[in-house]
Amino acid sequence: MRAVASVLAVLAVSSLAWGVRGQSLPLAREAAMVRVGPGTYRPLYPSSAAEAEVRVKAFLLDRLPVTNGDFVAFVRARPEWQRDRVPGVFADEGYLSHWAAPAELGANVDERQPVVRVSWFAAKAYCSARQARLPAEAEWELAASASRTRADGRDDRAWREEILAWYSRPNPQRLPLVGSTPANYWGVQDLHGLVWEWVLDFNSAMLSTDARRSGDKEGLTFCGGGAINATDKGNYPSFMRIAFRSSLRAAYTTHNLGFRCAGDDREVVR
Amino acid sequence: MRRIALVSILVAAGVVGCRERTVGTSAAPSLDSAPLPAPSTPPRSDLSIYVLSMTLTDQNGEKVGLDVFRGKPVFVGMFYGTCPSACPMLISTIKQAMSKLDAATAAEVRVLLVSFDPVRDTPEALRAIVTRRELDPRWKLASAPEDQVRDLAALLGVQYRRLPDGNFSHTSSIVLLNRAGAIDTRLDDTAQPVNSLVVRARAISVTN
Repeated sequence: MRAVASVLAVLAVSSLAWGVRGQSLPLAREAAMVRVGPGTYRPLYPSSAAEAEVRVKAFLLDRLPVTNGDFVAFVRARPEWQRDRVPGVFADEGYLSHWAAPAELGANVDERQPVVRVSWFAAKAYCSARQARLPAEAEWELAASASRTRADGRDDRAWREEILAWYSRPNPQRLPLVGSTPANYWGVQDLHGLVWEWVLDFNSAMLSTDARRSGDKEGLTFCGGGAINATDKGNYPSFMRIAFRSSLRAAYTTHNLGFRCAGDDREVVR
Repeated sequence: MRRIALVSILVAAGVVGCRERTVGTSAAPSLDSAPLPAPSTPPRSDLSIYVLSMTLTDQNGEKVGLDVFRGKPVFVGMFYGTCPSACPMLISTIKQAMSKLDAATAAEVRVLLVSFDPVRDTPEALRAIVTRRELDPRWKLASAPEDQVRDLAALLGVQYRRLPDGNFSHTSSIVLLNRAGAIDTRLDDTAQPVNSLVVRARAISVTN
């Protein structure tokens, strides 16, 4: 019930969102946001005792990942983000390379599939154009820790096995359409089982030591030492996401990395 | 199955961490094609970071763009003023590299240090560091709004985060930009010899 109310409120606000440069694009239905949290995120690698539990304020999150349809509308409104114009430091050469043309999806790409092959900079620019932002890692993980029926599903063994089964399955030849997995407690879908997703602070992952210990910091921070510090050694999916994020650079694009946008909760109130 | 999963994850974590200069883009959310890196595309020479729109405030309170030293070889680093030891070491390492340059190159090279901490690193605070560390006019220390700091860190491959006590956990890299603002060389461990930076700065300096 609360989720439904949030969707309606956010739709009302977000219908203005594309008009930043005089372009008035209809907000795709898929972009509707729901309220998530407040809650507590327990990082797998707290860098200090003070960070063992991170309080996450209530925030808004796209119910579904951003789709090809959403993103092609964006690059048509913002041609500087088309693949033949984007600066190389903002997106590598794989950027949107699966599309038929810089602003055309083509017959092999469904507009309801999650957009992939987008860089962090491009994802940020898209969310910014919607007057939204990328979710922080703590926000994304909080949302992703909910099972279908519980805000905190991490102790739900069956649910955890289900996620691991998704992670273990080969990539399908064609990416499924967004909305193909059930909504979680907050009403958010596809956080697991479809694509990896960018977070705003992807480049803060696995920093559990201070750079002052120069010389030894790589070993302490990234290698075997990290696994010893993990707070929840059974949480393989979380472990995998951290490993994946720490491998990313902001211009990277790949065939199964997409994103969704978030916003501050006060936008609902306003 | 669980054992296989764990091994795959450990391999992935190890590879992405310890070989981070070679990681690529082919990570996958499935274990059958485990998230192992593939070689990334070769570096391009036209990759200028000066496309990033930034408003830097330097130690003199002047507002400048990221490309304030466009046309010069530039050592770029990120730091914060109240940092207990890694950042002083960053400055010492750059000073060491500068001291090894020949006179012609030394006259060309500039240094730009951008703070993670826009709140505490006011122009006054930055000026105090310039004085204390006896930094000559080739050095510019600057702060920037938080979202721009994140963009720059992303471009430079610097990892950081703000800690609950207001300090920052971060990696210390020295990045050498060519005249156009593309990354030429980087030193990701300030305890390592600076020779590569010195050699490349000279190489950039002798080309126009």
